[in-house]
Amino acid sequence: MSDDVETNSEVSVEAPAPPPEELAPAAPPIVVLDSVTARDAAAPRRRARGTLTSVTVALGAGVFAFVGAPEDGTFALFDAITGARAPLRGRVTIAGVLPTRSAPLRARIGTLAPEPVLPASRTVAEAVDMAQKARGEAQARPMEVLASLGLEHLAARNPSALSFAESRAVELALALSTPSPLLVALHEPLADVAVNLLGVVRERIRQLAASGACVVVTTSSPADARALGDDVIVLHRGAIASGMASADVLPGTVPLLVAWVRHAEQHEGLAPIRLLARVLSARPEISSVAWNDNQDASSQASEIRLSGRDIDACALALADAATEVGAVIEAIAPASPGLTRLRAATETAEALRRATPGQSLSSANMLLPKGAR
Amino acid sequence: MSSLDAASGTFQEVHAATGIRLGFMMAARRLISRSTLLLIALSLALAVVAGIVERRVTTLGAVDRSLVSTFRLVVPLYCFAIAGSACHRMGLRDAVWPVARFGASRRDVALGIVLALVIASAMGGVLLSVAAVVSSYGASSRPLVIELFTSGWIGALVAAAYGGWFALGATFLDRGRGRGIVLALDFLFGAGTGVLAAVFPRSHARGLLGDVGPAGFSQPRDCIALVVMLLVLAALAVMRARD
Repeated sequence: MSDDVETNSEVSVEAPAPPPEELAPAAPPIVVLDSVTARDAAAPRRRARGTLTSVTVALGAGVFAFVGAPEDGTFALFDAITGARAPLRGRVTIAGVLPTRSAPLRARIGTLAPEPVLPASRTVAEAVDMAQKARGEAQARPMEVLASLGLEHLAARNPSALSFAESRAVELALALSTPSPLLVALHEPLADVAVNLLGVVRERIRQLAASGACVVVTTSSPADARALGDDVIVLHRGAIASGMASADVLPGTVPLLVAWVRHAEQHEGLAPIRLLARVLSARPEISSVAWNDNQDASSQASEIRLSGRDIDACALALADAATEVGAVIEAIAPASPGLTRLRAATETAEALRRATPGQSLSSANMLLPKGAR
Repeated sequence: MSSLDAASGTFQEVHAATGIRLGFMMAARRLISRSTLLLIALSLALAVVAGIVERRVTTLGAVDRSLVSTFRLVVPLYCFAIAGSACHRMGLRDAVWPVARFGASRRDVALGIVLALVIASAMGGVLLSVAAVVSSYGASSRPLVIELFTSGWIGALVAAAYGGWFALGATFLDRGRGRGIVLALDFLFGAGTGVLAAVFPRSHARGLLGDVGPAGFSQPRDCIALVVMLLVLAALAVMRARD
């Protein structure tokens, strides 16, 4: 593949390129999906909720965030790569081996499934112990696994008495403690997990990727995808619609900043949020300003949303303007577009591609520049 | 496989015994539940009621009639329900996944589950036979110890064979609904005396209880048929659930 966007149906996302002085022979991909058509069984009566259609992708070491709804095939992708369900067509291999056929391979795949499936046992500690023994670990240390995410308090509980988020937290701890992992597949690792140490989760995911594992995150949150992934791959209607480095702008969106500000002291005339908006609207870095004026509750902060080409420049402009009008910024964060907006943009892009002669793609997959960054 | 082996380092392949033990533990844990206790209580109540009714009609041959009615209805239904619990109301292949996904072989885990299912079925068979005998026992019956021993091992063997059948049934259709088909076929064809009936435990149970067996089988042949049935069907179930 060249470094340009390609026009065939193959997608290749590889690990972050090392600095020039550390260039080494390219490692073979860890996860390979070859024309895979797969389905999940997540709908009632085990019908398919989403399907993957002729997806071809090769993933090396690194963190790859697949963003999309279950209907777009995130569940089907998860089931296919973890070996839970064989694909209907095509071939899924992890390090050259079929995950549905190889038990030793599965011992090196860490999974956080959409639905937790802990082994039936008396206590959570016993379930973790069983999992570690099934992985072939010489010495099972369930308390260490649970303590890694601060879940020791769940050790004596009955797994069937855990809440959904608690079960997923235990599964996440197990997935992140997989010995010598080749693949760690995590579905929504930052949502619906009863873990307070989400920073530790992010750090551990980074460590796993740095140690050479392929970490695949499936999520319906573009914000989580960008927060976790080196590469963000958009799944749309069972196909890879686009892929990009997480620092890039997601399709159909502009960088957006949301901040909560309050006035430092009582002002006469215009409310500080309006004053701030007026000052910001004159700044060339800002392309649009929107605010929610919280006049009734004077002690609470008002929300202001900014967009512009460069999110850092927007933040600096906001800081300058706040100093100028005497407003206090209580919090500031990049706002990520929701999945609905992302899907709408993807559909528009696909419609445009279909309408433009010479640019229509026969495959369901949109293409990714090699290296994707 | 070489790439996996080379990179494994401290990683150890799981022994078959570990997989079997984990599968057995998981199934046992699924079976030790309130719903199983309720099932046992209900089955025992049915067996006891049948025994009391038969004794009220006449004490002559009451034990045999009580056992026949228990083996016709209660034992198959009990084994059917136990198989569902051991597999967590799923297919056998899906039932092994909570442990198999961590690296244990599906085949080993399935063997552990089938083992637990067969043992639970056999124990239930013994219990129900004993309940049927005790509740219908009268003065004209044979010595109680002999009745209990004979009906006990027959109950264990028949129920274990049912366990094998339902384990195989659990590998067919979505959520292991093949179990239901096995139960229906047993009710439909097991009551006969032809060659087809010899495939199902019901006909052999009848033969062992002193009635006409299938295809002119003698009682020792009924025993052998049930043992072969158990082994072959359990092996087939495990094979169908393997990786």
